[in-house]
Amino acid sequence: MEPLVTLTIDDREVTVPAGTTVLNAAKSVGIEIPTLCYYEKLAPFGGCRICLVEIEKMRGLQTACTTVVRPDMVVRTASPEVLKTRKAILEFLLTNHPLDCPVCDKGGECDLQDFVFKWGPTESRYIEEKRHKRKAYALSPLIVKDEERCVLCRRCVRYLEEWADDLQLDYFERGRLTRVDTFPGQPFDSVFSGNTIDICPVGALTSRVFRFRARSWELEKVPSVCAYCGVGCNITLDVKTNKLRRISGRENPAVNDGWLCDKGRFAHQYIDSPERITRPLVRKDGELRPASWDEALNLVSQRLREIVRESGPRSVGGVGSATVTNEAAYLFQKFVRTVLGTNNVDHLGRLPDGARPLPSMTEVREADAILLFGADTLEEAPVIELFIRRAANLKGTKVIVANPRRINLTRYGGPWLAYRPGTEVALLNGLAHVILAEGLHKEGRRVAELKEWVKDYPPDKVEEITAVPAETLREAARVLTEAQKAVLIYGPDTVRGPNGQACLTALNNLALLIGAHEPGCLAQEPNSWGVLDMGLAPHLYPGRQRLDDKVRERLGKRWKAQLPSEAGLGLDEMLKAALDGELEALYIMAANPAMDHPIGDEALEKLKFLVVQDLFLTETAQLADVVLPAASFAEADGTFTNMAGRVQRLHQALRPLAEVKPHGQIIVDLARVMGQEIGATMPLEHYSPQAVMEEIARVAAPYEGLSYGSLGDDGIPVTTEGGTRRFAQADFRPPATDAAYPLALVTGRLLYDRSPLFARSEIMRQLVPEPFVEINPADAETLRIADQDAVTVSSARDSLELRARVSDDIRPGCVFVPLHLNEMPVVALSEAGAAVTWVKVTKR
Amino acid sequence: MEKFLLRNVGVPNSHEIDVYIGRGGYQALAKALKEFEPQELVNLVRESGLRGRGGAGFPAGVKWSFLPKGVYPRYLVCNADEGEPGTFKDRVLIEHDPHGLIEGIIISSYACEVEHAFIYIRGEYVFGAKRLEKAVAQAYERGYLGRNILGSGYDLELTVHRGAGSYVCGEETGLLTSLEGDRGHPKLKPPFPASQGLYRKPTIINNVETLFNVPFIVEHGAEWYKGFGTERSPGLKLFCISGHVNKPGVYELPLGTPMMTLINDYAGGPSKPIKTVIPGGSSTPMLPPDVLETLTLDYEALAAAGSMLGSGAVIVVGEGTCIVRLVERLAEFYRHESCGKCIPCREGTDWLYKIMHRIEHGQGREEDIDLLLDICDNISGKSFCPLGDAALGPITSSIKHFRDEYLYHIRERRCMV
Repeated sequence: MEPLVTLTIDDREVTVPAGTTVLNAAKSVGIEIPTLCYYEKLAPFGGCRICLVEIEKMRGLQTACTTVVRPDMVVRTASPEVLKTRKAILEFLLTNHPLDCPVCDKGGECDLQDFVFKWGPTESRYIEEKRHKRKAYALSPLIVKDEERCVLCRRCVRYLEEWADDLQLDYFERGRLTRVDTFPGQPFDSVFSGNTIDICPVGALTSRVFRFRARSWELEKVPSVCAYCGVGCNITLDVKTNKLRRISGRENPAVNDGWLCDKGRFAHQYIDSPERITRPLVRKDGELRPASWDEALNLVSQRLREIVRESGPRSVGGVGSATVTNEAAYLFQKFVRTVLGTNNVDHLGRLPDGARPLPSMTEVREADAILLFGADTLEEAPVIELFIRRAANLKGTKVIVANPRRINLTRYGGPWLAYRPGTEVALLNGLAHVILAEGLHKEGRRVAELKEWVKDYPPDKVEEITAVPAETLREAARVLTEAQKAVLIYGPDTVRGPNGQACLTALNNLALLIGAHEPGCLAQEPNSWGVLDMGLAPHLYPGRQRLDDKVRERLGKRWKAQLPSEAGLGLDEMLKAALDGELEALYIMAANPAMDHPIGDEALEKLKFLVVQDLFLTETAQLADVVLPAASFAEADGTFTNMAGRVQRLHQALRPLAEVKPHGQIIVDLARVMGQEIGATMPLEHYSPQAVMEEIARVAAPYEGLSYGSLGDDGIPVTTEGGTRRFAQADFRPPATDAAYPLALVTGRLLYDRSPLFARSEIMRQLVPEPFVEINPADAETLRIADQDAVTVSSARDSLELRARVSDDIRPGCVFVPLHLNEMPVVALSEAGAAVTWVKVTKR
Repeated sequence: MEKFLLRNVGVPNSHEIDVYIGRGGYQALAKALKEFEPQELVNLVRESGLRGRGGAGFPAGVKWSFLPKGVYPRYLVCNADEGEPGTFKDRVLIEHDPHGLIEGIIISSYACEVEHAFIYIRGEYVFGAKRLEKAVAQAYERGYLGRNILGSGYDLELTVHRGAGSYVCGEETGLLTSLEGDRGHPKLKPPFPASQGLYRKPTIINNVETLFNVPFIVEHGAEWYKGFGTERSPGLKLFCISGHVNKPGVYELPLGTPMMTLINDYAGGPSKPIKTVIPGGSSTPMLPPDVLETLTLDYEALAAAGSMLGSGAVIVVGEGTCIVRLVERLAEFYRHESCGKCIPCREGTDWLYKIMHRIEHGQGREEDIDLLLDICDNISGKSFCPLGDAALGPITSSIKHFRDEYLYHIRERRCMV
């Protein structure tokens, strides 16, 4: 606790912690001092001079933003001299300001405008010609710059220095000619560029997406949560005439702290895409034709009943997605279990059992060392990347990157452990070996056993297996153990597949050994944790309860239904069963297995009946017999549970288009047609997500006591129980190899890709790169492949035609192919369940 | 009078190390290293009363004693960014007596326990920078720089760095950011350079002439030094006099010398009847001729007269000079040099120039005079660094002493002269 300091501001006694600035001391008692260059999340700059105040016994005026309080200071913020100065600064700015407020996007939320209104001169004394600078030019495809409006506060430049660590803007020229611009020939392509718009105090930086789409005072502001990745950034949806005009960051220190990535901010135009499905579609004569809701739901009801009657409940199943709300996911699994009568329910991209959420964002931000294992925060969780960059850049937090690919965070000097795919367990065991051998461990209990388990992984041998140099391994071990607050983060793919559980065990061992928090999974979808909590999995009931008789009986009573006792099929098994003709009907909600599952395409074609509810005619929906138009995240109420296990509220901001309905509503309506009441335990006229959450709170233990009232705007973390933490043996099994296919395939998401929503967001989609395969120069030379050559990447299963990108960002012996960039599913190259996909690359 | 600071100026090849040594050079360094502990040198300079010769006049020894104890490395930076219009005294020292400066830097660095010193020289001083670079190389060759200087165990590196041409880099924090390779912009104080300066390490910044004085103080002692000048402005000072005088140039005089002695006895007298004198560089307020008779050249007397000793750059303006045109030109200089970081200086200097330009070109309005004064008041004390204030001296002082000439310009739409 800081000692307190008492001072006087405008004749009021103010007590604040030592070290507080005069500005914040004044703010704490509601005294407003205007600022332009000062921004609370940036280091003080002192350039604008508008916060000058009078302090007794100090010569001249002092900037409130840089002056630290001292005991018995006497401050005046509204003396004649201070007010004259404030007016003068505003007058100076207005001398050359274009005053094009009527056509300025910032109008109504412009600091300069507000300050002039409060403190500015009422008449202009300036009769000279105004300076002219560049107006309305594209600083980037996303941001429009107006140099005449710029007050040169340098907030944008300082933010890029202190947060994004993307030094892409700076001052050019001098004095009155000074302007902020990009470096000649260099782009402004930081994925955090849009934050500069939020922090610009005037209309110098404006959004291409929002430009001229509303006056700020016409906007209805609806708090919500971003639906793109697992971070769960708090956002504000700005709505006018039932259209989403703009997304901006919303303050929540426990999550995104007000910052957003450009994807979350700008890629919302899909909501207004003409490609949206707005009416139910039913397949007639081989083609999907518009139909009424009654017709569509009756058909779905009739066909599902027929198939269940003829082939039993085992022959139907439901596939959801981690992109829907807790409420929709809960209803979906309840529908499948109670109405269809089967546990065949799952979702795409399910996190493996044993994966744990990230520690709180605060812990990530305060870490002094971060191990990022098989994950790339820039592409998968950008705002976490922003926090890590700031910590690494300003605090010297060490970022240890274990990845076959040189991700952006390797720039902080790593170490970078570029392991061979499939050798993760050996690498982790090797780290444990070094830590034990050098006596660096913090946890001492039961290490003897662990020592025994990892004894075969000395650094030299690990180097042989993983290709990570022994010295790099030792360095990583040292950095990890020297840290006071180390955080371990892994990508979900690291703990999937045949080695997944061993990998998880090895990660847990490592964390335990160095006294760190449980390793956290960088969940990729907005509701990866929530849908598991909701029981959207064959082996889990809501609250992640196992399917035993006692739970079944209790739930059955509550749900007033006879629950199936037979174990359900997971997604892989359901699709295999479909291929074998044993599964005849699937109900798919917001998932696209035709693109995202190795056998999705062929399996779905075999089905007798396929229902898909989604926003767009995805590759999966195109195969459906009935397609039901579903609402976007902005058109429905609900909650998401983010990657740190925080439940957060989405508010409906838009009425759905035409006949579109929220996912949960569709399930409720269908259940009613099928003669069941599943919305909640209370009878429902309309779908009520709030009532569903009340039911969830009664059924799913971790959510106990939660309600929309208690969630507020900031959300609440829920803790699902982890197991007891103890060392366990992690067996490394060398991956099988295939001489005909010598290269290991590494896949991963890119932030800007051709996934259904992003690809339909007009302005942003131009930033999606062409499909490519990244190949190391050494391999490219052997294969005589040059940069930009057309190549075929083939595995034993399938092949893809791509352009080669020759780069040492990928380690030798591997190729990197991003997911969701091409029209062909990359996953089709892989054998479901294989540890490593082996491919070859040939020139076309 | 015997010359000290300028003793080598005019001597053939005075910039060569052998000539310098032959005239007693580097003796003070040997004495300092042999006979003084660093702290004793700091005390000596403090006792001598030597005040900073860059313009602000802050006591050098006091500045040195601000270095936080026990924090290393420390840096010393010689400010050779001589940019104030009318000032060319450092240039003469650099070009004619580079070793005198280097010796001063070495002794001062030793006093401040610095192991790496820099000379930040303005980019336009190409010849001076070359002379310095050569002289530094010679000093390294002879063992006055580098490791174990004169067998004392003391090491010093000295780097000559050329600026890229900006007045604001003469301001110490602007100089440091420029020296670090960044844009030359002034930085927030605190932290002050003495505690966190170059590369965030304790840093001493002194003007060329200030450092040049140090060897003489070491050689002759503080008492000797205090024998020159006045009680509060002790010592020797270089004055660079220009404008309407018969012998413009750099002259060495004790502080406290009468202004008219400089003008008449050294600069050969005015070439035209004196209209005004700008006593300490272009930013210092101009003085009317009637105060000159009794005025002495020291910090206190000039402050009492409403101006400043500044850098010692005396600009004599003769009858026949249009004050409005003169001030317009100076206003243009300051607007050109305003760095753009803070609003009052960036916008205010531009506005001031535009009004001056209008008046000079026959478009003035009588209310412009009050407007000029009010804009000056709105900049005064409000800018981030002293550049904003520097721009005001010529305008406010000229209106004070020559308001009639402004009014004539406005009413008659032409020059009075």
